Amino acid sequence: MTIAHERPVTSPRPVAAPDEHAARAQLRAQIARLEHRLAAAGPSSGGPAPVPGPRVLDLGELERVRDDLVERVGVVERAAADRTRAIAAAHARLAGMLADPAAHRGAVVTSADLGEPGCVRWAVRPVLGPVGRLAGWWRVRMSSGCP
Amino acid sequence: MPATETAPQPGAVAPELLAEYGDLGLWWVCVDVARRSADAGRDRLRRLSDDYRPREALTPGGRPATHDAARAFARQVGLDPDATLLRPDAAARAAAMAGRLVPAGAVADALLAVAVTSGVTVTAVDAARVDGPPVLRTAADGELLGRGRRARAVSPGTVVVADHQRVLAPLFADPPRALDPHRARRVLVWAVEVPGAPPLETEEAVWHAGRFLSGR
Repeated sequence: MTIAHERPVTSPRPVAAPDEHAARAQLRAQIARLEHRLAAAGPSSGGPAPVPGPRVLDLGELERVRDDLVERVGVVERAAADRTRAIAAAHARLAGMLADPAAHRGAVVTSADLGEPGCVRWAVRPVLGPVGRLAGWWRVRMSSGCP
Repeated sequence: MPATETAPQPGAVAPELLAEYGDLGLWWVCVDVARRSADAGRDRLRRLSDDYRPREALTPGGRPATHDAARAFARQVGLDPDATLLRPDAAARAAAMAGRLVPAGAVADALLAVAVTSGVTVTAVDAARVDGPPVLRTAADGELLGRGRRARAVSPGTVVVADHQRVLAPLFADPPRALDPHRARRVLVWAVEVPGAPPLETEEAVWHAGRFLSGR
């Protein structure tokens, strides 16, 4: 292979002091850990990147990326925690509905509320329609699934 | 640019990038596209579609470790992999929408197959437009991406893959008007090995892409 007019591989950046180099490496490690936490917490909506890339980021830019990730991780983890609490509450509500339907008249829980796939729906309905409503006979009816 | 063996070649990496990131690498191969590779690529994607689960591919547990490393590295160089999707993520989203891996020509099919199986972002350009082996470096002042009237300036310091004459593509990005999938007879294929990626995975991904395209 002929190598002609080879562009020298040069650095436009000044050589950084060793302590700054170490600080950047530390920030990059933090960014990698935060990215993993962000990915583990769930889908994140992509916004504008805090710095333009792809470039070798300096200390300040790495800090901005790190801070932006911290904020995003916080938002996503809070949303994931809220979702976990909502799922636990839905499970408790369903258990209560099954244990005492009359105390949960008209209550509905879906598989989405339980964090499960599918379209199953549990609803507390009166037995025999108006008769059950008047007589206080209630039961949990489970739908047959997705149409 | 002449074709090489299907064994990937290590590309040069600029010293300042190596000093900054250490385990950064570039693997490339230049292959002639076999005529039968288009049919083989379609068949390969059809087979992969049976087992491919886009939802799993978009979650950390289901993603190849190489892809996780690439996402982390993308953040470290100022990219947002949730906004500017890397190829494996883009492939998973497209497959989720289409319900399968959609063929789009021999070269695209090979890159897609490699992306979903290895999590490596492999890039290809028409080798006829490449002068010398690719290099991973930062762009200098005044460099352009693309040719002719469509060429646009590249910000100095952008991490790019370049040949001896010009910038081929920014890191993780598709080259501008990379190649005509029906006309390209010889392609240069490369992938950047990022820090934290399992050893050999990137090299193997490039080897697979070269093998798929050359039909060997």
